[in-house]
Amino acid sequence: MVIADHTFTQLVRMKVFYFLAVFAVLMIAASFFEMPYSRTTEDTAEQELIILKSTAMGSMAMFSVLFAVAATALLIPKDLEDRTLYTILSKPVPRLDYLLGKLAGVLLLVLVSLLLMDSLLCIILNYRTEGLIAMEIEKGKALGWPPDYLQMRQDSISQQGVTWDLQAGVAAIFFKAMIMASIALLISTFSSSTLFTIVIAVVIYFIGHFTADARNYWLHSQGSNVSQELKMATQGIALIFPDFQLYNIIDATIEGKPVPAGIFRKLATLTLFYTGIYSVLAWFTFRKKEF
Amino acid sequence: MRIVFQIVVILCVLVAFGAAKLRFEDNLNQEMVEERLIQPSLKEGTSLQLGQTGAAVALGGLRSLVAAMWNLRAFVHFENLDWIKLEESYEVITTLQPQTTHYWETGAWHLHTNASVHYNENQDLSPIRRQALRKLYIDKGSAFLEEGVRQNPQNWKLHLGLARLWSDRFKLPDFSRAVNHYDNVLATDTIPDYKISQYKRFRFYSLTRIPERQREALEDGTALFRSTPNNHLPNLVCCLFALQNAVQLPENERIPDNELFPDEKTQYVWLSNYWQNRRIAFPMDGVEEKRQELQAKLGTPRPGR
Repeated sequence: MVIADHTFTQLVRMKVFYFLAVFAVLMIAASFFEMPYSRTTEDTAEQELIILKSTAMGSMAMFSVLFAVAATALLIPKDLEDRTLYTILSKPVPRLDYLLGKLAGVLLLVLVSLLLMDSLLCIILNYRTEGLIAMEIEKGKALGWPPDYLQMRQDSISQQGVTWDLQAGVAAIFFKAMIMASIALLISTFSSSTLFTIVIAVVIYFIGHFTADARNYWLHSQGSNVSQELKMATQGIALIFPDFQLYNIIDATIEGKPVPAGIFRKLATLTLFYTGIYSVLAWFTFRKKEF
Repeated sequence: MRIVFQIVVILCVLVAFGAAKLRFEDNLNQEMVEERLIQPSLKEGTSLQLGQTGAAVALGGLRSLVAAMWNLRAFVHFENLDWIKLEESYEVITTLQPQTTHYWETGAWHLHTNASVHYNENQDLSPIRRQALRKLYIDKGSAFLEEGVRQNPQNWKLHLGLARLWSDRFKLPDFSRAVNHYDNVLATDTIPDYKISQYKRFRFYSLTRIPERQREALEDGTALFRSTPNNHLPNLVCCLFALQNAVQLPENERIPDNELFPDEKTQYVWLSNYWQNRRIAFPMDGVEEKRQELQAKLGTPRPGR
């Protein structure tokens, strides 16, 4: 806990929260977005909210993964440079505790950042949703829409506002950042440079988005067109790399689709397994490392 | 040497963990695809370019953001009337976000409406070239929506986009095609209940404009008329009146005028309005005769033509 708290403070002092100003400007700009008048359709209000959410959630996903990778990659080299690592390891602190403390500190930072961005999104989204509902009701009354239809329009717009399903999307962003932080931690335990850690982590991030296709090719492609070499390559990818496509429920939550609790639980379980296995492997390489 | 040993151990553990999680992930993936939470893998024969697909997959969680940015960029191409770049932009956008209806609808609208009108009104082109480019971009808009439908077969709005396009009298209407698309709209399981009745009527209006299917249109129209008083709308009633004349339905099989119309004065007003819209190509059999008969009977002032 002490190491996690120290790591969090250390990262906050690096002025990482300045990016929130950028996010706020982006959100405010996106909230002013309006469909061209000639393109107005029945569900224009919903589409405007989807675009607002797309911008916000995309930025959140980008910032969180960048934070998770860059902050984790910096930690061990910085402790070495400041010589705090020697001080910590000379005390009766298990190396696993040190690594987990560092990881927890980074994840706390990502969590706080995501909560701040999520709060800002919820405030702006709620404000925009209320405004659009009021406009729609006013328009509907002027056009003499029946009360049932007005209620349907209100429900349809509200579905694109602040919902628990949207929060499931934010949680998926955090899950992805958790895995990326633990991967960066594993690489940083045997890497000699921060840049190497970041580059390899980013490469793994991209490959992780092909895992589902690789697995699909391996398990579900049959017939004469299937190449054995390609099949072996896909087996390797499917076995070694995490499947980041599963975390793309973010896109579905942006479109207001409901996320069943069972699926969300399975995703959370998978994330814990990934984070756990990478952390244990990080400890394996770090446990007898000499400095 | 120690690092090599460590990497080998790490790889072995990852492979073992990978084998253990493989089925779990595969099942979870299929469950999510069934719930339409994530997109299925692209099948063979897809018209999307491999480069774009790779980019789409690789961008992963940033797809929504990149698509939103490209959407803004596409609007700049629209303002510059650069239809080629606009089309390319929407191909990228829809590759990134194939389940977002709005992007398919907007991309198609730019092509079949804005681009086709722009070329049609471009006086620098010869009339033949103008016509050809107009048709080309209407077809491109339609093809774009069809690709959207192929990737989202249960999306009623995309089917509706096609139905509207092919029943639009300001484009190149093909009512048989429009009727098929309305059938697809009604066959989806996502269409809201309150829309079904409306689109059944729209299907009927397209059907009435196909001369060789007038009997079928009459049967459908009669069923709609009898199903609910909410369908006793001026246009539907007038279409039924004209169709009964068009197919020369025997008197005993017809819906009598006093059942179709609330009263004779309303009949006169509705038929007059209907007659004024004869450019829409609805059947007009017996409409003018009846209108004149009512005018003589009721002494109603003759409305301006």
